[in-house]
Formats: sequence, C-alpha cells, structure tokens
Amino acid sequence: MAKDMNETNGDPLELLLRGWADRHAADSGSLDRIQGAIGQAMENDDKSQIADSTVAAPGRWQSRALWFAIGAVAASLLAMVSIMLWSPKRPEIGGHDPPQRSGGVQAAITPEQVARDTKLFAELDRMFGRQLRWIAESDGKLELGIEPDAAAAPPANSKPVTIRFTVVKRVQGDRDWSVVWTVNLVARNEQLVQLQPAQADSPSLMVWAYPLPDGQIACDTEWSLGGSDRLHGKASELQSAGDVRELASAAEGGVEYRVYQTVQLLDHEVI
Amino acid sequence: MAVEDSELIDSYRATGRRDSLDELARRYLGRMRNVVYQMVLDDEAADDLTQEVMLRALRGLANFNGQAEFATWIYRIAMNTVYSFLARRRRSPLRFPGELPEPIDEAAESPERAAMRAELDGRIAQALDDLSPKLRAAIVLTTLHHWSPAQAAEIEGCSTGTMYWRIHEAREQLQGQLATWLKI
Repeated sequence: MAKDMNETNGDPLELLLRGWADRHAADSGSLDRIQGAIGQAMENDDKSQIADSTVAAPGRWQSRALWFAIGAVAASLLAMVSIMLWSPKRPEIGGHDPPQRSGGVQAAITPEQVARDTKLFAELDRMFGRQLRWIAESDGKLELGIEPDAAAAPPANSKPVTIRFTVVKRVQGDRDWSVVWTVNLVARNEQLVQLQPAQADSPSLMVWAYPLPDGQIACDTEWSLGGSDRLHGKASELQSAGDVRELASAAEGGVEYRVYQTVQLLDHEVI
Repeated sequence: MAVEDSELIDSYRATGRRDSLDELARRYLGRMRNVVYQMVLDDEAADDLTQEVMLRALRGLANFNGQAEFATWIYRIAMNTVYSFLARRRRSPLRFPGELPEPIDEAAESPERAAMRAELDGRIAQALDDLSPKLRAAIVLTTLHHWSPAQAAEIEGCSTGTMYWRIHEAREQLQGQLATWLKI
C-alpha cells in the first residue's frame, strides 16, 4: 500500500481515528471463531454436501430478526400490485413441469428468458413511470414491486438481475425429479424482494441480489415452502451469471428435495 | 521471502489445495474484520459480515481474473458487502452511548481516564456513523487502511478526483464533530 503503516504526519484527526481503530481492532478470539467458521464452510463446499438446508452460510443470517424487520419496512414502502398474467408464451409453472433426471435442468435461465424478461421489465417500467423495482412470477401470477414515491429517482447503477429459484423433489429411489415450486424474479440492483405467502401454507421467498464490479452476483435468499413440503432455508451466495447453483438439499419422509438458484444480468442498456 | 498473493492463488488453481486458501484467509482476515467493523460499527454484525466477505472471496477465486490486485479485489468485495448491509440497516441507525469498555490496563489507567476514553470512543463512533457510507469509506480506507486516494478510488469504483473530494469532505465533517476532542 502506498502509505507507511505508522505515518500520521502528526495530524490530530488521524491520531484520534487510529487510536480508536487500535482500541477496537479484532481480538484473536474473535478472529479464531471467524476463521473456524470459514474453514468449516469451505470444508462443506469441498464435500459438496449441504446436509441441512437451514445451516448454509450461517454468517449474516444470525441477525434473522433484523432481516425480517428490514424486510417489513421495505415491503411497506412498495405498493404491491398483483395481476394475473396469462400468456401462451410463458411456460406454465408450479408443479406441472415434466419430471427430469437432473434436478438442475429446470433451474437454468435460457437466453430466451433473459430477452423476454428484459423486454417485460422495460415495458412495465415505462408503464409505471420508472417506479418499477421488481417483478416476480410464480404459479402463473405476476407480482410487481412499485416505488410509491413518484419523486424517487431510479437507483443509480441499477443493473437489473433475473433470478430463477426452483425447488424440485423426488421420492427416494426414483430417478426423475419434479418441480415443486419455481419463481422467476427480475429485480433492480440491491432491491429486496419479499414474496409473502398468500395463505398460511403458501410458500414465501425473500431475495436480495447485488452485481459486483467483477461481474459476479452476490445473492441472499431465504425461502419457506408451506403445505406438505415443509422445507425452509437460507443461503448467501456469490454466483457467476448463468451458473445454476444448488443452494440446499434435504430429505424428509422418504422424499428428497433440492433447491436451485440461477442468476443472470439483464441487458441494462435496454432498461 | 513471503509468497505473493498471486502465487498462492496460482497454486490453488493448479492443485486445488486448501492450504493456499488458508494462507490467504489468514493474511486478510484481520484486515477484513477491521475494515468491516469500522464501516458498520457493530461487533456482532462485523463478525457475520467478515465471514461472508471471506467466503465470497475464497469461493469466487475461480473467477478472479487477476486484472486487479487480490488485495484491491477483496477490499472491493468487503465494501460492497458492507454497503448492502448498511442499505438494509439504514432505517434503524445505531446510537453510541459511550459505554465503558473493559480497561486495557487497569494498573495504568485511572477510572476518570477510562471514562473519558469511553466517551471519546463513543463520540468517534457516532461521528463516523453520521458520515454517509461513501464518506466513511473514504476516510477508513485512506486513514485507517493506508490506501492511497488513487487505490481507494479503484476499490470504490470512482475517479481519483471524487475520492479526494470525499476524503476532504469526510475530514471536514469529522473535525466539526470532534472539535472538542481535537483541542485536548
């Protein structure tokens, strides 16, 4: 680094700040704990096993109450508009996809979907006066997140991302997987998307994505399936565009589950 | 002679051996924990976010293109992770009451001095928290992590001129907030 570590030039403000920083530097016990957690997580990566979908990426999710509180605030800022969308161009989703031998097949984002999502987001954004923040499509229903404050500027550097979240299952011993739930999302950079369950036993999803300067996309996800598929979990991932990532796997009552997430950048020049 | 970061990364890519990753983690863990704490000003959140930053960096090594130094790259991940956290937290800002910390050396520090130091630390934390995240990052990266303004600009993805302005603005605001303490 360019400056000498101990250089202060006698500047009183720098001395004050550096003294404070020294007094609040991480202690070795804290660093050991973090290092241990990192080592454990990397070891789990090596094994490519996520035995319990609720323990993936434990770090930030320890502040669960905070996450929910912030989500509630964010949700209150958005006017939720739900409209039924029926289009022969869109594949029917939500348990009707044919079974596949690889659970990840259904999670891929195709170039056609990227093109379609880009166009849809651009058109809806114009329709809502640049106040559109996100779109979520699930079970044939389209939900829109709209910024209610007409004076609010669109977020700076807002490259929208499209996210496909897919849960598949199969009876243990079976060869093929079938889709339990799929959500297609398009969200602006750093936009928290919170899909609340329509009913007590409906699935819910929270997603927050952020493209990094190097092209990767940081994505935090928390999900819960209601009904007979009692599966819930959370993940904090760094994904390459187009990469189909298995977020979690679980088995319960003789049924195996896999949770996949794929993220892709939209053509922000269009938007 | 110490092995360069780039050599560790090359070694990991060539062999997949974890010891190279462990060494990288050891090198950066303390710095990442410090920079994250100095930005979020909360120990528990800093521990969580540091773990997240390190995992993002280590898991993302396969995609690290080497155009930037690893140090710059991991700081960029740290700052982006912090900004995201702060954006989510911004509706519940922290307050710093200046609670009395554990004395560093009980024999050397009188209760009055310990109380004064606790109050000072609280004021500094509050002054840092009152800065916008971008201004705070400018002062943290250059003053506490010794990056030059040009290097800090690269981490932050802004022009060097903008970084100079942010440093100047941050210093002015801090000097105003901490004027009393700067005179002591």
